[in-house]
Formats: sequence, C-alpha cells, structure tokens
Amino acid sequence: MSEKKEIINESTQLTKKEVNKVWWTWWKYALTVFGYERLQAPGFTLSMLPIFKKFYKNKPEKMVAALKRHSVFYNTNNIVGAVVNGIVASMEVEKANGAKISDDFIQNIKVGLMGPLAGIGDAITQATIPPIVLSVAIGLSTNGSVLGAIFAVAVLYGINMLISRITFMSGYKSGREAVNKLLGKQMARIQDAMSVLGLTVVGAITASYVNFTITAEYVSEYSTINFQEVLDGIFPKFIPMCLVLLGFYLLKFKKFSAIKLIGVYLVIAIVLGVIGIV
Amino acid sequence: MDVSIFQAFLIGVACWLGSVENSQPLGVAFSDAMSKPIVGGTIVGIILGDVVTGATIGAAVQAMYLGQVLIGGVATADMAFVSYPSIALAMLAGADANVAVTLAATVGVLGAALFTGYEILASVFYQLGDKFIAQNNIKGMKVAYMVLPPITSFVIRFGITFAIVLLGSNYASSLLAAIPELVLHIASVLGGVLPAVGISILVTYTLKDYKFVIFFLIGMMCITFLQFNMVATAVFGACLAVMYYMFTDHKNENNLEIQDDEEDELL
Repeated sequence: MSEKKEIINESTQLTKKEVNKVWWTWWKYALTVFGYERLQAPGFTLSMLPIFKKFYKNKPEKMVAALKRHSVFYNTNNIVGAVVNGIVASMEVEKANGAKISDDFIQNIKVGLMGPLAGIGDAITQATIPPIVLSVAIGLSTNGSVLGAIFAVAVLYGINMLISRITFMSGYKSGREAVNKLLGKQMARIQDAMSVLGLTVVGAITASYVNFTITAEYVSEYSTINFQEVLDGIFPKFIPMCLVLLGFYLLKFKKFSAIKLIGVYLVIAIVLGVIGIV
Repeated sequence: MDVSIFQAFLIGVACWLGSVENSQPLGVAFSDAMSKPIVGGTIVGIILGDVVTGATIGAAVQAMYLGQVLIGGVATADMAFVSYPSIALAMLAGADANVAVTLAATVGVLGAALFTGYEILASVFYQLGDKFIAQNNIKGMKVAYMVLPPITSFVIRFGITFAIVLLGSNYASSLLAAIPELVLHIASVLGGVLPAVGISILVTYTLKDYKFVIFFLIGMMCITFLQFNMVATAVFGACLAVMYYMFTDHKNENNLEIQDDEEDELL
C-alpha cells in the first residue's frame, strides 16, 4: 500500500504551480462567456485545463473526452464553489493516473454540490458580506473622500480571494477522501443541512430585497382602508413570498426559463402599474 | 460641465473594467468590486476632475443598491451602467444626489434588459467552443472562452458609455425629464420584483424536500418579525443546519459498513 502511494506521489501529482494555476484560472475566468445556456461551464473547463495538458498532452482522444465532459451546464457561486474545483481537480488527477472513476461519477459530484453551494455561497458572498463592507465604505465617503472606494475594492477583493483560496485548497486536499465520506447517506445529510442554511438565508433575502407595495386604497365615507397596511398587519412581505413561490412553481413544474420568468414579472408590473394597484 | 473625448474614453474603459462578465484584468471579484456605485462614482469624479461630487453621488447611489445582489446569475439592475455612464451623466447635468439616484435606477433596469440580451447571445461562444473542442484545438477553445467574450463585452460597455457620456452631456437633464412618469414608476416596481427571479432559481436548487419550505419561512420571519439583520440570520441558519445534522446522525451509524462496500463498488 505504502509502496503504491509512493509511486503515485513521485510520478503523477500536480506541482504546486499547477495547483495554483487551476485555482487562479477559476478565480479569474469563472464567469467568462456568462450566457444562460451553460453559465460557468467554460470557466470550469478552463480551470481543469492545466491538469489535462499535463496528462493528456499526447492523447488527443482523452483530451477531447475530458474537455467535453466539463462542457455541460454548470452554475454555482463562483467564490465558495471553488471547493468543487478542488475536489474535481484531485479526482481528475487520480483518474488520469488510472483510478476507476467514471465520468458520471464526476458529473454527479458537480451537479450534487453546485446547488447547495450556490445557495450558501450567494447568501454569504453576495447578500451578507458586501452590504456590511459597503455600509462602512458609504460612511467613509459621505464627505466626498476617496477612502470609501479604496476600502470597498480592497476589502471585497481580499475577503473573496481568501474564501475562494481556502475552500479550493480544502477541496483539493481532501479530494476523493472527502467524496468517500460524502457519498451516500452522509452526503444526503450534509446536503440537507446545507439546504437548511441556504433556504433560511434565501428567505431572509426575499424579505429584505423583494419589494412590492400596494398603493391602492379603499376609500369610503367613513374610513380609508390601506390594503398594504392590512397585509403587513397579518404577515409582512406576504406578496414577495408569493412572487418567489410563483417563480419556483413556474421554473420547476412548468419548466420556464429565467428569461420567461422575467417576462412574467414584467407583465405583472406593467398591468398592475397601469391600473394603479401598485 | 464639459467633457472631452479623452475623458469620455476613460469613463468607457472604466465601465468595461467594472462589468462582471468581463474577467480582465484581475478576475470576477475585481470587476464585481469595481462595479459598485461608490467605486464608480469616485472614479468618474477623478476623471471629470471633481472627486468630491463624484464620491458623494456614488455614496448616495450605493445606499440605494446596498442590497443589490447577483443571485443565481440573474442581474436585476446592471451595476456597471449604473456606476459609470449614469453617474457621469448626473455629474455633467449638474444634478444633485437625489436626481442621480433616480437616473441610476432607470439606467439600471434598462441596462439589465440589455445584459439579458447579451446572456442569450453568448450561446454563440459555447457553440464555437464546442467546435474547437471536437477538433482538439485548445488554442481555439481558449480564444472562444477567454478572448472573444471580453472583447465583446468591451465593445458593448465601452461603446455605449462613450456615446452616452459624449453625446448626452448636453441633453442629460432634458432626456431625464422626457421619460414619462408611468414608465419610471413601472421601472421602479419591476426593480422591486426582479430579485425574485434569482431567488426562485436558488430555491429550485436548494428545495428538494418540500417540507424544507419551513426554513424559507423561518428566514423570512427572522427579518420581518424578529428584526434580525442578514448576518444574524445567516448565523441562525448555520445553527439550524448544524442542529439538523446532529439530530439526523443516529440513523446512519448501523449502515456505515454497508455503505463503505457500496462505495468501493461505485469507484
């Protein structure tokens, strides 16, 4: 066993430089192309390229197969999602060394992780950190100082880089070991736990950032009823919740695309805006 | 305030640097940070020679977009167009921070529509990438994925910003007045509703078991009833997640060995 391990270590691990390149490519090009069709697929393919170049340089068939394997739809939070690049990178290295890891297996890891990580990642790196940093920056800039802008760029870039780097390296180091642990029921439990966190924060984002205010009032001789106030008295942010659940229903069961959903909301906004309800 | 061609050129380039679809020169997170109005306002102020006004307007617009998030890859307002051409226009028209905020909101929604168009058209690059991959042409693939998209982004961002800043300086205030009230109103309603798109996408990702919708409700109630802020809610959610993990533990212990065998077969 130890002998076998030594051979692997000697001949086929990535150098530190190559590992860094895998990470940096993802860090830099995660959102390149940025189309609805496959979102981050090119970024993921590019980040695996240093590995494929090392192992499949003179094996064009394997090279093409490897690149094709990663060209399918992929979308997650580009900062926290670096952990997937780490795990898959270490699995690709093993695969190139002859380990029996099927293409489907790698694909399942990616698909299984991208959703929960998108939920948590967006919650942390989009909805939590930037508002805090930018609030401080606004405070620094209200009298026209350049400090706010410098602070915002330096801190946002620095924090994101730190998170991305740490998650990537932990994914790469645990690699298949992590996958072994994560497989099966263990994985389902972790994913469920991640969904708990993700959904809690997504609910909070709904309450904070989706706004819909009914301005119409019922005016009678004796009193004025403000519908929005009545609703707020029962359950604040009830309509934003309904809008999100409607969106979920259309996406999941009616197979709407994001663009179609934007169209639906646009129609709602126009119709209700024109007749004066909102 | 007058603007020279050189100044318009610089603002155009800055807008390109602050657009998330452009990964040059330091990566997505850098472009994302550059796209913040507080940064854009300061940079536009420096270029136009009045950094105090620029940073002040930037801070005011930033306050409105504090919660602006790019969730699930769906932009609800285009931050690059908000932070550069619209702040530049406001400064050139001599508008105060309030007018600048209205202008930014309008430009933001229009920009988001434009960006949605870009996200659809970007399919061309995927097809091109597929073609080169099938031919084992790594260089070609790199061009399709790493070179052409930033160039396209540059053409759109720089072109529109340059034209708006150069031509718009004379007409900015009258242009703003010419937009009907109803359009502005619908734009602002839509701006409030659009975050629901990205959130819906995230829910489809994370909601596998419908019973879990209670956690979505808990999250909402943390904000509406308990008046938590986002950080407190995130920590609370993390606690719930750990508790969930702890309380589902005992079921699996007996199955661990069987599971290991399954894994070996799978691998």
